Amino acid sequence: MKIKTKNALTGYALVLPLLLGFVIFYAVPFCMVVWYSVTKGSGKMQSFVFLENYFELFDNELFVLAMKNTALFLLVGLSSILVISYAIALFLKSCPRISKLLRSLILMPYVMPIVGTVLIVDILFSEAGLGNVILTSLGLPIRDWLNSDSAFWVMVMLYIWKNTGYSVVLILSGLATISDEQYAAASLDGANGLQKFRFITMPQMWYSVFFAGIFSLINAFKSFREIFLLGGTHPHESIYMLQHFINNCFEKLSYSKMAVTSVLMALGVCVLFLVCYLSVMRKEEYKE
Amino acid sequence: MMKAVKRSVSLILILITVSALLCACDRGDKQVLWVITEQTTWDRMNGQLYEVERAFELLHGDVEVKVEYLPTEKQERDVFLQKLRTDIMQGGGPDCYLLPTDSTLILDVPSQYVYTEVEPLFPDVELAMRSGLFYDVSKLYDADETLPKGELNETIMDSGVVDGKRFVLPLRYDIPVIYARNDYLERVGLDLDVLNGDILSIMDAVYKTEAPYLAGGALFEDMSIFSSLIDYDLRRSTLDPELLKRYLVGYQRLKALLGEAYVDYNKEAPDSKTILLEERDRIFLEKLDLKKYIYCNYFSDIELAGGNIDRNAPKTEYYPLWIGSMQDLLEYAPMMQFEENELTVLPLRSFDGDLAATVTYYAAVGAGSGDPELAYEFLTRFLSKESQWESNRPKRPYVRPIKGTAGNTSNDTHYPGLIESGWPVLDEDSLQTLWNRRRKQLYVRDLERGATSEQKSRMRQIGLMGELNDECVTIFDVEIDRVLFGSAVSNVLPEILASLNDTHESNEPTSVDIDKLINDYVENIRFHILEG
Repeated sequence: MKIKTKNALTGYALVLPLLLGFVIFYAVPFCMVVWYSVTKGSGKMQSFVFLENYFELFDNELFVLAMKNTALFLLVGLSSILVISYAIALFLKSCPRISKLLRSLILMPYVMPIVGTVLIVDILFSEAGLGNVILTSLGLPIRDWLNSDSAFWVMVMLYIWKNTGYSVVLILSGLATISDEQYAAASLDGANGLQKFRFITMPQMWYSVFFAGIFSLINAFKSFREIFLLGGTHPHESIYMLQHFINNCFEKLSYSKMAVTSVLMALGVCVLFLVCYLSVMRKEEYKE
Repeated sequence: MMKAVKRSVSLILILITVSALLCACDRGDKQVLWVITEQTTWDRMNGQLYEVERAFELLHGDVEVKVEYLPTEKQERDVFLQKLRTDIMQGGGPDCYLLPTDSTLILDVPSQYVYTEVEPLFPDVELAMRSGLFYDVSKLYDADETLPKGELNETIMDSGVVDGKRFVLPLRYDIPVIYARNDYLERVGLDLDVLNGDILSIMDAVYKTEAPYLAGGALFEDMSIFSSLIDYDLRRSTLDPELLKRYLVGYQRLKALLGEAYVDYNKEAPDSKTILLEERDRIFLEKLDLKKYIYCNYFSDIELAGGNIDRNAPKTEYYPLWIGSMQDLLEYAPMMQFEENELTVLPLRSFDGDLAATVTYYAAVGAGSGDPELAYEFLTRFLSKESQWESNRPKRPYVRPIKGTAGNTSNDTHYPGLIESGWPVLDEDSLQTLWNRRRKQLYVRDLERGATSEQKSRMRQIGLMGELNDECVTIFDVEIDRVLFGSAVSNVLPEILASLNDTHESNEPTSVDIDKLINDYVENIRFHILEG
């Protein structure tokens, strides 16, 4: 009993620095943001308005646009990156000879400095960029890639290109934990490739895919840096994201809008995380 | 051994605690009043702030006025603004704001003026008022018996009131004013009644005269012509894109007309004073007795400093039509008395027929101020007669504590007498008072410089111009319908206009897509409203 208590105390002591950091730098500021979201004004002019700011924000067409764009970007970007990464990881697992080389190559865009990434997009999609050169050579009209609806797809492509490598590595590490004996046994039982994937790989990969999904989600929010560098504070409407809205509200000292958006965004991410986590946990239950 | 260590540690802790307490007590002796302002020298507000700050500290021995100038260098400013906005969000921030509404600052570095475009701390003062970022000073203002409220322009002062709460104290304002020399306009067949219309009818009439020298004066660049851009209650844009298009097209062709004169001028390379004039006007001018225009020549000496002709120069023979600001009254009003020619001075009305004034400089108590009463008392010093009329033009050069311009000990290099940031809100009898001050200071300035006999002769001419009062011009009798605060969206106009024509020399219209410019501008306003 005494040892148990001592161990528990040691555990708490070890966790304490991290917990303190979390409380001071994340939990307290977030609580403050929640408070700002239900008040108006600042300092002595601050007044409690409860949910008024929330109702006002849902009437704000720019917020709705930013929310739609962010949701669409996450939906298209996340699902694409997971499917592509999964496919590449399976391919690399089946070809161990070229796997090492490709793994390094595929990670290159992820470690590339942001300025380099932006420069590449500029070379490809500016008015006199490679994209338009190809269109001209095919006799097609040129496009203003970054100032039209195409901008959204350019950004999705950029996100996939930059972050696929990282997800591949994460999924590949999950695939490595599945023993070859299971596949061999399935082959003896006459299972084809699709069946092996469905009944052996998939059930054991949920946690890795979830993990890759979480990191892809974080990277999707990080894509705002590229979008900001390419389109500025007010890019084309198709790539106007929630981060643009938050950033611009801060610059215009519109704190309540900024706070409400931040709270809603945090809630959205938490709900998404929780749904995925519970679903993955349910699928992983069989292991216990 | 352990005991000795424990004793040493205890001693150190006691020493730290005592020192901290002593420091706290020492800091508590002086109350700090934090003032945020822009560094700009042209409008003379920094000089005035310097004087008010010293006087306030003398009066309140226990108060230290801490003035912070917003940096003008972009990266430094971005970091500063971000920190300041975070402070404001957390309920802190400065006690006092003393800021211009324009985003173009004019700084002086040795021997030249530098125009700097900056991001304003409050992109929209109206929105900031509605967002509760300023302290409501209604009670303090209503109870204040020291202010000359009856002499302050009520309409302008009330622009700082939203929903019955007084958040802002306007200090300077401006209305667009048309100055015209009747004989010139009649000679080119421009009906004087046109001047009672809006900017579009004036631009059209001027274009029809095909007189480049008139075109220069009719190129008015201010969004007050639209009366308002945003309905803050309904949170929507009130800008009519069609009117904006007509204005941009009119501006473009007038500028081109002006450019032709420059091209002719460069070909012939005549005396610089004949700039913008066609041959027929040159002949007309030769018949004039220029000796009568000593007053304007005197000023042109000032305005031509650095070799650049400033179109603000009150040379009526070069600018028979000029749409300017109220400050020009200080040059045109005496001209109206001095010249034999009849001059017209009229306010320029906006498209809806309203007369819109713009607050150019304002003061506000921060919502996070620790002592709003003290902050209010400090700011109302800028509404006193002394500040509105006299301290605005320091009697001697002051030491300007501004970082990064001419150093910490540089004297004000500007000549006294200018009010560039707008007209005082204490506008009763202002023309008379300001003119008298200006006259004296111009006189003193040349004495300081060591006046030549020619300058002395000019000074005598200035002295001959006599007294002026508000009745000399009708502009003070006109009712102001609407008061605007410059905002990030209205300050964009010069940028749009700059894209319409090529360089200043040729002024050829560019191939810019005006419809796209307007669409982008309308979009800009939409973002401004929805994010603000």
